[in-house]
Amino acid sequence: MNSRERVLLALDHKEPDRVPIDFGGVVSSLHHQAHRNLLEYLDMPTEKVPIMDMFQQIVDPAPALKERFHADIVGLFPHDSSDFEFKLDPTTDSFVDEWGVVYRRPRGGYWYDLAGHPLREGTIDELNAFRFPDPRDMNRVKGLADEAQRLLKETDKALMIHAPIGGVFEQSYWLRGLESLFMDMGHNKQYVEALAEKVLEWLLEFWTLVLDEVGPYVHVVELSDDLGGQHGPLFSPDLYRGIYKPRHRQLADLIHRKTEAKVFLHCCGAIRWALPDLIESGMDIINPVQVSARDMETDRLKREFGEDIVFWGGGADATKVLPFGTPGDVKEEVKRRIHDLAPGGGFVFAPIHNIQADVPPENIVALFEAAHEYGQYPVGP
Amino acid sequence: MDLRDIEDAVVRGDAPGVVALVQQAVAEGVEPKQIIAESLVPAMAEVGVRFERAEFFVPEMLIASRAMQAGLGLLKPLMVGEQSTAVGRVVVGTVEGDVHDLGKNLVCTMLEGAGFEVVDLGADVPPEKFVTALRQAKTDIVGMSALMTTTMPAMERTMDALGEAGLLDEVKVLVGGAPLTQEYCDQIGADGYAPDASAAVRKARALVGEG
Repeated sequence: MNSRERVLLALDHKEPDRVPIDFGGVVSSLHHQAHRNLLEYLDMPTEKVPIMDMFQQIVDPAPALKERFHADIVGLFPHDSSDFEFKLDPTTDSFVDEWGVVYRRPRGGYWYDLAGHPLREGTIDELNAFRFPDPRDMNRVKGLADEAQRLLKETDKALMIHAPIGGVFEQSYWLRGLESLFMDMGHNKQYVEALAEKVLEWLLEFWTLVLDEVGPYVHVVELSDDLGGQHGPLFSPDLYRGIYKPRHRQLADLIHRKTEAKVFLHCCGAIRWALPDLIESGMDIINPVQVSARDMETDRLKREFGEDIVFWGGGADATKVLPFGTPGDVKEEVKRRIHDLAPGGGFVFAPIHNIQADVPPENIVALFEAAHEYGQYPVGP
Repeated sequence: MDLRDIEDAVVRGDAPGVVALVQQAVAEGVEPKQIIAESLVPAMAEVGVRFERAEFFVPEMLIASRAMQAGLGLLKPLMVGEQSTAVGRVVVGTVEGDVHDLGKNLVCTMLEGAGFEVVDLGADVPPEKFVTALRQAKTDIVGMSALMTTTMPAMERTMDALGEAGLLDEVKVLVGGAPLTQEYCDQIGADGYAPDASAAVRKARALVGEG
């Protein structure tokens, strides 16, 4: 069985030969420093690899590393618009994206933080006057169909297309600032909804363009919208259901009309409360299954939602075990998560979000070795 | 006037309403201390209760905090020179390398709303800055926040700096932030862990013997 068949069976809620492994995507890769440490630790050539995401400082891992860790998925990345040019300001260690959002790295920091937002006033007038980048700029899909066809022919991996921005809520707060958007949620829901609608319109246009090009080739379409904090919803579930849920549904419906691919939603934090809604909205896959958050016990999640949604992630508690545990702890943790999530299929193993700069390389090796070892079907107790 | 109107306006997050009502209360001769004790403090306690019951979330807590601060901002200048009746002094900061301050800011306001004197050192605070702030005045609690596993070591370095400065005998340490746990709090020798702003107030009150 090859990687593609393995992934497609798992996404179809069937048991393949082993649990598929995702390593190297936008939310399943690792910081460049962790990548370098890992190559050194494994005595592999420390070749220069491209930074895949400037903000998070993650890399597209070395091909030999992806093979070693049995990665079953390969990514496809739309481009920026033709009139955007990336420029890093070395004096302030900051940059601006094509939306006008400013990112800055704190001194000694591992990655960039949001540092400035174009929608300063939070008024409808400002929103109406704001110039969104062109979602249908042809540069976004330049060469993408050829690349997709090449990957299908030259690899046996499943193909996942990544989103260039977050979801309706995430991009709203990227543009407006998290604290400001939270204040708007308290005072001015009409504005929150108007902003959500503008972001949705952009995403619908963008995905129409992209999927008209590569819809027949991809197996997974990545969306992203964090809804959970460590202990519960980031904002009221009523507000989510009123403003964001219907727009999630419109996005998922569009994707399902345009392609046979499954819709993957990256949604961090404690989100058990939202799973019935997300399933109703048409999400096929949920990631990253943040097991350290409240109510995210994997055995219970699988029991309650395992027939209706694919779990993609869950690969070791990223706040305690992976950074601070021993390799033995990591293996035990992986074994437990596979035991909980793998039976019956509907599970793709991945780290819980990108692996941070200071995670010991022996723990990363333990993570993927255990995923391969314990992920053989039928999975043991 | 009924001070409960101010309390209601704070809970609703109606900052202009709070300002108008506080001005009215002051004009009617109500003591600033009484306005704080009988409207702002119970309002923030109510906000904490609603947060714990999952009736309020961060947005509601934020607008209530801003409304409370709008009221407090009017009253503080009227109390200059008066004997402090603060429950305790708390020095708070997000640790070095970490610029995330939304949670920390909420903790500051909730503590202020519970009657603490709060010194907010901001975000990305180096250990020596905590030490300096603690030496400036008798402090009951130091609160540290970290949002990322990669900045948790800065919390340990700050603990070391406080220990080396001989401050750990006189001040209690309260820690919080998404990746933290009670286990980690115990491991670094902190006195209390709070998963959210409301819990931070409860812990802080307990640490100064008010809980």
